[in-house]
Amino acid sequence: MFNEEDILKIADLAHVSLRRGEMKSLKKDLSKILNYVEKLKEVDTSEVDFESISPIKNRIRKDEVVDFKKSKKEKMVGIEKNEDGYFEVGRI
Amino acid sequence: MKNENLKIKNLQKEFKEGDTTCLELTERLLKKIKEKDGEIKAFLEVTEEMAVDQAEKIDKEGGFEGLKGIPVMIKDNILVEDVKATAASKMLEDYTAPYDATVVEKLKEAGVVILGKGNLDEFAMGGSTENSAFFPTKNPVDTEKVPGGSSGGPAAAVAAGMVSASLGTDTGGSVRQPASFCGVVGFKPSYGKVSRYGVIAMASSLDQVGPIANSVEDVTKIFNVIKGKDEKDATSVSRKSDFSKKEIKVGIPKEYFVEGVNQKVKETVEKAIGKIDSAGMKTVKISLPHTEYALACYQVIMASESSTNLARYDGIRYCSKNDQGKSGKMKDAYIKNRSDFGDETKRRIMLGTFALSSGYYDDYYMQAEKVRELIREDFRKAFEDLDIIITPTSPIPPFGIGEKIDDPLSIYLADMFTVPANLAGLPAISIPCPTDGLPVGIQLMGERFEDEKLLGIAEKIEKIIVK
Repeated sequence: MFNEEDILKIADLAHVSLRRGEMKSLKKDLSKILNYVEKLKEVDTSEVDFESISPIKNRIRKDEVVDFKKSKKEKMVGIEKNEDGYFEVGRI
Repeated sequence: MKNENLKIKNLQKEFKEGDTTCLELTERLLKKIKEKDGEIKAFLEVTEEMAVDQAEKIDKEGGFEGLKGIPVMIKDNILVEDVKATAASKMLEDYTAPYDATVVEKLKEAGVVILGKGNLDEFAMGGSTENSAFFPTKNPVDTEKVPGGSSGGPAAAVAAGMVSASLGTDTGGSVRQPASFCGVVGFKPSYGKVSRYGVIAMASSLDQVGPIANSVEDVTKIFNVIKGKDEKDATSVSRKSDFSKKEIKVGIPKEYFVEGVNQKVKETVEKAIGKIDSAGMKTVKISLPHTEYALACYQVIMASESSTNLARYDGIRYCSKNDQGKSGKMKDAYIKNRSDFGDETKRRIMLGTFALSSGYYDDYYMQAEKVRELIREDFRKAFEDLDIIITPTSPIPPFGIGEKIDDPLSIYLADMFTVPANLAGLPAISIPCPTDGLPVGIQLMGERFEDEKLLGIAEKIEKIIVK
């Protein structure tokens, strides 16, 4: 079960803010879901060994630079300000 | 079957015999959309001008084969160059796609006509399309009911006869469940069979693009065009399977026919299984012991991956609000710019953030990944002796609009039978069963990368169950 302090901590980590009056429903809904997923702890997973069962290899392609400006069309979509192929964003 | 005239084979015949031109068909459907979609609301955007231009071009070229001239809808979390891609989120309200997703590029090369973008639950998170930031979509079979989700728009548009086929995405059932709710066919390919390049990411180890159409034959035709290895998606492969076997062995897992499954759904699917058995396919009862943990496992993995994927909507990389806040601090700017997520999206971001956070990671995320391996193992063992597995697609029939919106967990439970295929990366298809009431879908799951074999068997079963 989550308390108010937990909810605020998670919101802070997730970079989201709570709307007015949202605490109550978030606490209720997230606690209900957490309570449901707790059942995963019942499963004995002591024998599961990822190393032996996942024959997955990384696939590497050539690290070649593709100039965005020379792609099919010259586009700066959704960005109001741009210059010389760079996006201008706000100061942070 | 309804929408018979919009099946790919029948349209190709009309084009070839000169009964209609691609432009005539396109204009007829655009008119139908104007008349019908005010009520159904399957489209987020109708790309009328682009569709008419494309249809004129196709008529000039001629040579109607494959998918040429076929009218389709693309779910709005898949990029179509120069068209808005909102993923039904306020966060991407003004985002126009700068390039085509690989699947769209392939469809365009094959000569389809894109009529528009389909509604969905925000960022494909939901099972009813009620989480769209813009409006909910209605089920064309019964407009009081939800069309399912998250590909509710694409399924409803096919069911309402506004397009021949559509592309959806399926992370936990988002192609199959709405297809089941709307009485059409929906196919989720094996993970890796279809490129995800240009698809707005939700949970990257589960997401897959899949077609929705009026028949198994039609989803197969679309799948054959969109599948294949893509340099731009490192998880994509070019593996192919054959289907030539005469005797087919079908597994019926007991865990999918338990208490809690709607009686009508159970009866309809059991009746279909009876027909399959009588038609000469061998049906056997099997057990997939970790089924009851699949949904919890999915919730943790999906939320964890979603929370990291959605970190990019921060006002700097994506979404153009770019409000810096008063403090001038970076974190405050992020928080301010991320204020437009809907309730469901926010819940998943928060649950995922929690499951990945220090002190909880091993108990939730790692444990879920281990359980996922046990679920995969269940399927691996079962398929040693089976060709396909049959289950209901959804434990419940379409529910009323607004009926479950206040209880997120109850909507999650509707994904119970579809999430295992995503966790194990298997191909799975939903086919409508004949009913006298609301639609019920039967789900067929195949072995990983045996998509062609699954589709071959599905085509046989589709014919058997309507008899």
